[in-house]
Amino acid sequence: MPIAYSENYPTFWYGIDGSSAATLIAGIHKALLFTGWAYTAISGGWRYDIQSPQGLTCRVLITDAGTPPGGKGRIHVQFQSSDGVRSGIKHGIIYAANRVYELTASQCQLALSMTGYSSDLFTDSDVASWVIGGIPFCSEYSDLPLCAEQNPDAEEVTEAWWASGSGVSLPSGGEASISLENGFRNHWRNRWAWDGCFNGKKVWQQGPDDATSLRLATLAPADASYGYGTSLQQVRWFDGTGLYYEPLLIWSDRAGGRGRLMGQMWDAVRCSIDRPLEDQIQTEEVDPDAPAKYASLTWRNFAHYQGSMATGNKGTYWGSLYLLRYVEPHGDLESNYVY
Amino acid sequence: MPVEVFSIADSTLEEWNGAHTGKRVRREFLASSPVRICQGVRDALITAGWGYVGSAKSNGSLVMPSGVPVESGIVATPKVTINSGIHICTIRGTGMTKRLMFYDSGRHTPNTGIEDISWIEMGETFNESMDALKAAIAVEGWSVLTVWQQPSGTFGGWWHLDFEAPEGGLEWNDASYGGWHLFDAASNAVGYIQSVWPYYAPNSASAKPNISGPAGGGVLLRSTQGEAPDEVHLDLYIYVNPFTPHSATFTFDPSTGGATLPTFQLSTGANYVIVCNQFQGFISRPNADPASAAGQQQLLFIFPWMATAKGVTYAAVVSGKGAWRTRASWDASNTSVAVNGGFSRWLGSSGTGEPVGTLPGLYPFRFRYALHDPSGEHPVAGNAFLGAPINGALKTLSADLNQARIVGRVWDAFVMQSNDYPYDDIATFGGMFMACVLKETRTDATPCSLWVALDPGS
Repeated sequence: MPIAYSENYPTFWYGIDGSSAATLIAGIHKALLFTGWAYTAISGGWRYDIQSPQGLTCRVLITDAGTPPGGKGRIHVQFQSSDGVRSGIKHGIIYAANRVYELTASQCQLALSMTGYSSDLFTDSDVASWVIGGIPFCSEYSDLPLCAEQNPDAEEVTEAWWASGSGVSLPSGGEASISLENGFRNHWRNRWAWDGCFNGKKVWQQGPDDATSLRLATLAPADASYGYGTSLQQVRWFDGTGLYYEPLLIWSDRAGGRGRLMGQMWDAVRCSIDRPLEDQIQTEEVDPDAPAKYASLTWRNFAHYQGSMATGNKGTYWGSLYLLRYVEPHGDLESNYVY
Repeated sequence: MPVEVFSIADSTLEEWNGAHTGKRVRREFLASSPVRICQGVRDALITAGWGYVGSAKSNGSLVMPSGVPVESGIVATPKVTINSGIHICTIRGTGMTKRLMFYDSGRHTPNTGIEDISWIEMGETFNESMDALKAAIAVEGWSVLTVWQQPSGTFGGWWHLDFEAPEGGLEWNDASYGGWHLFDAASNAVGYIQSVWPYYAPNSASAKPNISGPAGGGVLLRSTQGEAPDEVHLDLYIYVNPFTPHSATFTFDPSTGGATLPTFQLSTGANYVIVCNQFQGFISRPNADPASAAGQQQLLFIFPWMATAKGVTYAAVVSGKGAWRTRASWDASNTSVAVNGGFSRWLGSSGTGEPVGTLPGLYPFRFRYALHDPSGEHPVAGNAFLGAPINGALKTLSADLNQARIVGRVWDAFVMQSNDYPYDDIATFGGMFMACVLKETRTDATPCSLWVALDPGS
């Protein structure tokens, strides 16, 4: 399972004015137009209908949520099934003076965040500053390819979408923000403000259970000595550089169930070591079947957390998450399906 | 491209093995004697592609504080027929086990009807008696090397008679002395020193055995990677050590040198299974409870696919008794690692050694439970990354380098993020794999197991 590249070029838009709902929604909308999202005007914002290269679909609603009592004004980003029957939670994104956002989006995935704003920098008790989600790359069937032959009755994948954020509109009607160390912006898992749907089974769980959170698969020593509540060392190559690997998504489609490997983020790659927020790297991708087709790719880091130094570690094993923000094609490149 | 994918370091493909070819082999072999164990491992590894470098000859040194007896000069009439003389040693060579006994031909007539006695006629001089002894030993098939006397000591310096097998290897001699551990079949081992009475002393096993060192005889095999002039290798000595008479002994010697040569034993008893290729081997007891004494008899040695592009010029991990079969991070007290140098052993988190989190072992996706695909039917398979601490530089907790480091991959293997498979289970995942090597079950460790590919029919 190498990197999953979607068919459209990604869009990266920075400097989105987050001082008001109108400017924030308008900025997001402008960026999403560039990546080809189909849109429909709805009350207070836009509804986007997106489709993955595999044909899986879902909706994304981005609307002005107003200002809750005692809170700050915010917009909501909400994922839904393509027929609107199953709705995910509303991820709150605060708008306020001096807030500046950036958006990385591709054919079926978006990542919205306040520029330069991660856990170790955060001093505001009300986070609600980022959301990431979309339709994942999935195996055609719910079995992994490795084992598919063992289960000819494997269920075909018909629906999959997910989202992870830092603000959440509670079923009770209130708005809440998750605490630090609980999201993809600064952690490998999200316990409090995530939702996922797989083949009609929508799950939103809140709680500290490690098994039922949404998480990015993360390489780490298997050893038990540190337990699950303590930071492990970062995994590095011998020369100190990080390992790059697939951003695999784990969640459970059953309340209380243990997480399963549901899919993979599009146009993204994990790095096993902590990197500065919004760090950018460039790579060259070559189509092995047509070497003349290659491209220069620019990736931007979405996740960063400077971990506890209690155990002598620099950073943590959570690592970082690079999103594809720009593709410069060379040669006769028809798409960025170039590996 | 900046991605590591789920792939197997395939020992059968030149793009991975660098033209050092081999086979994926699985063998079950008898462990009824140290020789049998050595033979089982040797045969499997040679089949898998390990190079045969050479052999050590079985050897011994007969130590005689007062030398050998000479005849008395007395002529008795009639001579007394004797059934026992001066028993200088018991030895076996190409024939049956023989007690070598001197007799005084002026006084005694040996009873030549006693089949297991080789009678040696005392000479008129010391040298004549010694020559007779040498001849008697040679008759049994041994090669007598030298006779020498210590420069000083009791009786003016003890006498030594050094002898060795005429050919190297395991078959000649298992050197199991004392008579209580005879090896299994004459056809298997054609010579050994059973006992030397009263003055027996085998050659001491040196700290670094070499091709002429091990007293029990053995073989030297080699796994090679890379191309000249950057070729590197891991040597494995397989031999019978007379000081561990119930065990086969394995000593590893990296081409990077170093003073520490990890040595492990596998004891006799129930059968073993070895899964190996030209670069690695996993030896365990099939279906044995790993917590039992028998189940803890285990040995792995991995000369991994090395991440040379990431600065690894040499890597090897060896792990022995009870250290790895139920652990994805291998017990430091019985595991040695060589990274860009010689072997070192790590001592755990006691403050005197490496922090536990950087122990050699596997690096799966961190998860408290078995990780399955959406169907819940099948566990996830991932890369068999091999991590190891770095020599020296990581000895202090404050160092920025205090982190796990990936030095390469276990060959022909993947990590299954599940541990609910029976030991030694063989399954087909687009190929035949065996879960013979790991079943991580410790609380809070990531449950996983390591599966190693087998060739069809192996």
